[in-house]
Amino acid sequence: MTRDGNAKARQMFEKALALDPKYAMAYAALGETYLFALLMANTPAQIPQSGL
Amino acid sequence: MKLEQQAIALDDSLAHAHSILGYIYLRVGQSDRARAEAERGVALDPNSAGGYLWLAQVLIELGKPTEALTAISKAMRLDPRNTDLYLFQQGGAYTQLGLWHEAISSLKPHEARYPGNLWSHVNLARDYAALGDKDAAEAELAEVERVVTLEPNSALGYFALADSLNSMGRPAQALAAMEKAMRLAPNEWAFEGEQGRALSQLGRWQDSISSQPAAGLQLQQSLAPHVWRAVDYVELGRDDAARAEVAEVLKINPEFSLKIGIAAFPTNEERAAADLHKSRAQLNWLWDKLRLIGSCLYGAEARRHTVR
Repeated sequence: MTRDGNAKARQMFEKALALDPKYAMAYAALGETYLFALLMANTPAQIPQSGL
Repeated sequence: MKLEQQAIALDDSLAHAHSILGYIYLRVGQSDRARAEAERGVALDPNSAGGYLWLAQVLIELGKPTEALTAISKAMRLDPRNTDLYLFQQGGAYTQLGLWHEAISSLKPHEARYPGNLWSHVNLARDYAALGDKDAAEAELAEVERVVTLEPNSALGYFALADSLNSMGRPAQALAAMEKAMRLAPNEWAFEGEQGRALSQLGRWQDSISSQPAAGLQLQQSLAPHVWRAVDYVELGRDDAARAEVAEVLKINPEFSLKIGIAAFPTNEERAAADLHKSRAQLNWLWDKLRLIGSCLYGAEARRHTVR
């Protein structure tokens, strides 16, 4: 997954929701793109882990 | 979070939304809700490897490595063609259990397949350092430093660097890295644990305690800060407070062993061992529980690190 790919995916989910505002899976997937954007915002890494 | 909640409001049976929401709750410090939502995700769709992966990540960050390994095994069985994908979480769970060799065996193939994952290098640095393989740990640290150089405004990058430096017994450098991370992301409560670990290793006991406010500890639900604070309190002669911290550690992860705690203090292993041992020795009921759970690991470490 890349930042560009994630941004493009977000656009697609937004279009899906514009077509069908009650499309539950599109809301879930759109939320996931925001989560991934946050995780990738500061680093190319994936998900941080706790210390021990 | 609102989008996932909106999705669930429209269709409560949407397993994926529950799984994602679980991880989001974790990141905002709502650990009970995090686990409940991640478990709801796999309950709604027990054939989803992704659901088990999110659950495993939540469990790892809540300090439940054995349960995480069970979830990872299920994910691998459901998605046998992509097992490399799940090796990162598997390695992280092994690291939490102090199974350094197993952790390396999981993380190395993951690293080869997904070289961009900074946290593979961080965990491998920790595993190699715990095994005393300095050259291999240095090689992983170099990878972490390379990423930080490429992204000098990455708070998480400096956080990762501090983790590696702490694992390798360089707390002064770790502290400097944490200061940069906290300047870049001043409201990130998850960073305080790593700062405390550096301060503990530097012998700045009171500073370590002060760096991790109680509210932050409750939010984190991570056992690591409680370990540093147990050592800090013993060193300050506050045994009651130390016992309370050890109790928190065992509440979060009943499988915690001295082996894991000692590896977190590479600069002064014997002293940390003595401190943890002292805290624990005063808690007979916890001692018995630990002895039952991890007698092999614990016995070996207790013999090697005699309390003086």
